[in-house]
Amino acid sequence: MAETQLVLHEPFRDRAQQREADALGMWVFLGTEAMMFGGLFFALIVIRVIHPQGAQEATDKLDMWLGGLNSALLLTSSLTTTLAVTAARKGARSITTGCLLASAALGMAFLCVKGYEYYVDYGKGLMPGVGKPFPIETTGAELFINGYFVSTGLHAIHLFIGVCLVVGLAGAVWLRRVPVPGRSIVVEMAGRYWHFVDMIWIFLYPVLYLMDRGG
Amino acid sequence: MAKVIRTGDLIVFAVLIGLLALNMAQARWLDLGVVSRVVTIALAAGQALVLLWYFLELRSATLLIRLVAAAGFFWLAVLFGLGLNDWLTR
Amino acid sequence: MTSIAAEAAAEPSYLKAGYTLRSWLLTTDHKRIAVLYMISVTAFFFLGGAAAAAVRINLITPEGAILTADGYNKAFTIHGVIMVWFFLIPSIPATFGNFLIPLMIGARDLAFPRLNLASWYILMFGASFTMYALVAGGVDTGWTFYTPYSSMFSNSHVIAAIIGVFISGFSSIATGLNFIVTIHKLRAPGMTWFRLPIFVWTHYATSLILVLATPVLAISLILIAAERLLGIGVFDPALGGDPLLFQHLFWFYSHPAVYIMILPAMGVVTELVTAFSRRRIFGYSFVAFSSLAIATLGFMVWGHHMFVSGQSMYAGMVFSILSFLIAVPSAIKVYNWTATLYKGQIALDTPMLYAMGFIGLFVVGGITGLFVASLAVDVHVTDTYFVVAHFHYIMVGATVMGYLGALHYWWPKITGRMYPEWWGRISAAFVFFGFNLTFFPQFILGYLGMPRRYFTYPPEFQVLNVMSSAGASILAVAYLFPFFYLLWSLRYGKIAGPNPWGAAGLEWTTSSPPPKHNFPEIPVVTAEAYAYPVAADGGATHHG
Ligand SMILES: [Cu+2]
Repeated sequence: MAETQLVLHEPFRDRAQQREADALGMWVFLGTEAMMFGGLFFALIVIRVIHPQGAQEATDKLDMWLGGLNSALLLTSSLTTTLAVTAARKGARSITTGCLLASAALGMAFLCVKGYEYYVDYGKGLMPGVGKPFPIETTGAELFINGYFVSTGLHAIHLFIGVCLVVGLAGAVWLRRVPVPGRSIVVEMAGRYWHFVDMIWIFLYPVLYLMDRGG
Repeated sequence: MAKVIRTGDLIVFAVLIGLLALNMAQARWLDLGVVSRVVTIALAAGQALVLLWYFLELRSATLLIRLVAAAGFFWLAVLFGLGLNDWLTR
Repeated sequence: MTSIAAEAAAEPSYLKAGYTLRSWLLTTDHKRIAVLYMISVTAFFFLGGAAAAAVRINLITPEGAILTADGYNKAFTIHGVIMVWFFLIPSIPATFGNFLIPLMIGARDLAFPRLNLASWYILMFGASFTMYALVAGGVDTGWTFYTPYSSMFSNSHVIAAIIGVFISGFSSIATGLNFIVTIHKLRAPGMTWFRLPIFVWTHYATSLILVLATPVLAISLILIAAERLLGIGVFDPALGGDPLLFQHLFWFYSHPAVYIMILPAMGVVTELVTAFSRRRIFGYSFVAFSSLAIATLGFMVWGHHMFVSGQSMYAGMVFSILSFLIAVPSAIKVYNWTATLYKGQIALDTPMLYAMGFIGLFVVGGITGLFVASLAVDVHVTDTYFVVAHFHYIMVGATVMGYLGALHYWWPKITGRMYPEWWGRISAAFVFFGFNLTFFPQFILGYLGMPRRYFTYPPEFQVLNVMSSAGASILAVAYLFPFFYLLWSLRYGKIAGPNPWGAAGLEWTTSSPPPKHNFPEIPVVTAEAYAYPVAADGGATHHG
């Protein structure tokens, strides 16, 4: 039985207990991440509430198509991650590796699009502190754009960590350092994190690019 | 490869992309007035719930894990509810 | 069976499992990590105490005895920052929670032992930034880091200080996560939720706050840093930002943080009151659930720190009403402790003296909390010494009493030695007296209108200020007593048996100090918590 490959760590009495503890720990960790991004979302919503006009003009400066492309990239990466988890559970080592690498590639594609978008934003004078002066006079517009940079930046950092994690994991699965299906829980936990980062973007995209968009 | 691709996952993926397209379309071409913000968030929340239920496997998770996920949303609701309560009544 | 027990009984105590520095600094044993935490928070306590001493000495004369205005601001800031994040938050959970939760639930360790060690290193790493801010010239914002002063105007080392606090937050999160998973997944067979000691319940509630509130502090500190370094404007009215947004985010963490400090102490007091009155806790399930009620309601009252800040009147009313509500679960606990004492066989050993002190000071702190929770009274006492006295009754009076009570009660378990009882009682009495002499006059000062955070004051306030400073010097000596006699006891104290108090609880069924793996074999629990009477040499739960 492949289950025997699972290493039992010190405080646990049996494998089921360890597995449940790992799963619970991961979910609690995701809960803390949700609270941190929640504070940021709260700030963005407050800005929209106090400065509807400025925030709307700022929203219109953002490219909803590039953002939408990024949304699609991340949703696709969530699909490949799900496939990786299924493959790992079935012990399909090379498919697991391939799907994980596909997720990482889609994540990198997201970051490239995001980088290009930042470059375009820079050209429009949207970046705080550098480049041309800010193009909109209305109060709250610049504030909203700065909020956009902080929140997308923090999300990009999380995604980058995810990419590194998944690439490392793909290598470990390939080299049988993380044997599947014996330790498929590692793939599962990495997948949880990946989906979660996707979920942050699922909210970030409409709050930044879509809400209150004018003509 | 074929054995890891399940139809269910593909349907879930299609629903996620569909909700995204819907949200983009209503933001770009529909003027929903006062309910527009609510619709935008509702569509995103729909995506998030689908993601949580299927890809994050809350569907087959223990009650405890579902509670953890629900607790996250509850506490965020406290932050947003009591916090916005200030700005909306100033 | 017997051969396994005999073999395990031969396992040396956790203190003798290795003598090298490496065996301590790379340990994953929750008991050793608890000791590392204890040494660190003791150091921070005396450092924060030194800053408090500077503040109290300065306030002996109306024109400020020793400090400049600037130096005074830095002294009270560093006092607050160190005491809140490097002493009070980790104090009971990271030391006694760490040491005792696995013992109390019958586990070999916390669920994630390496994460537990990492949490200590993270705290030390964070502390190094805050210490750098201190030696590089200090911070003058107050521990609350209020914007826009902290984000736009202060010329002190705000960034280094908030990086330190930010990093230490991850230590809190790691500890909370570890406790939650441990309490859910590692309870011994038969250890149902309603057989858990209340100490475990309160630490569970504390952990909920640690993992749910700390991330919001993290993001508000990130926003201050972004504001200071990049001028993003989120707290700057010139760009349309709102300084009150910071206060909302900050107090969403910092009000619940008060419960991070007080809930573990409530758990300690429950253990002490039952052990020294030899009775089961009165109304177990009420006490257990009131911990969760406090943790939940604690998230809904933060706006009571903002009554005069310019938040809407309606929001103020909502937060005021909710703040009154949270008095209910707190009062339930106090009533149940006193009801437990009724007809108990009360023994006034040192830990019990601290427990009684806790209840008294907590009641004063709690009731004055109702004063400041009512909108009209709060307008009068906001930012006065009344508020300073109120929260010191809770955070120092109650929490430090709980900490010292725990230290004496579990000292034989942790070290295998008894402390000198006579010295213990004398110090407990001095702590209680010194504390009240320090802080009671501050209620009067505040009510008369003396504002907090000023380095000078009108001459008519001098008498009360001198009383307060005199009390502080008694308190300082009273805190030093245990430091010396406990160190003394490590070598000369009477050897303690497994259960010197005749207390119930799994931690008293194993040897003192416990072996590395806590129990010769995992116990099977068949009795409810606090199953008194217990024989002084035996254990509450017989097994194996
Ligand atoms: Cu408060």
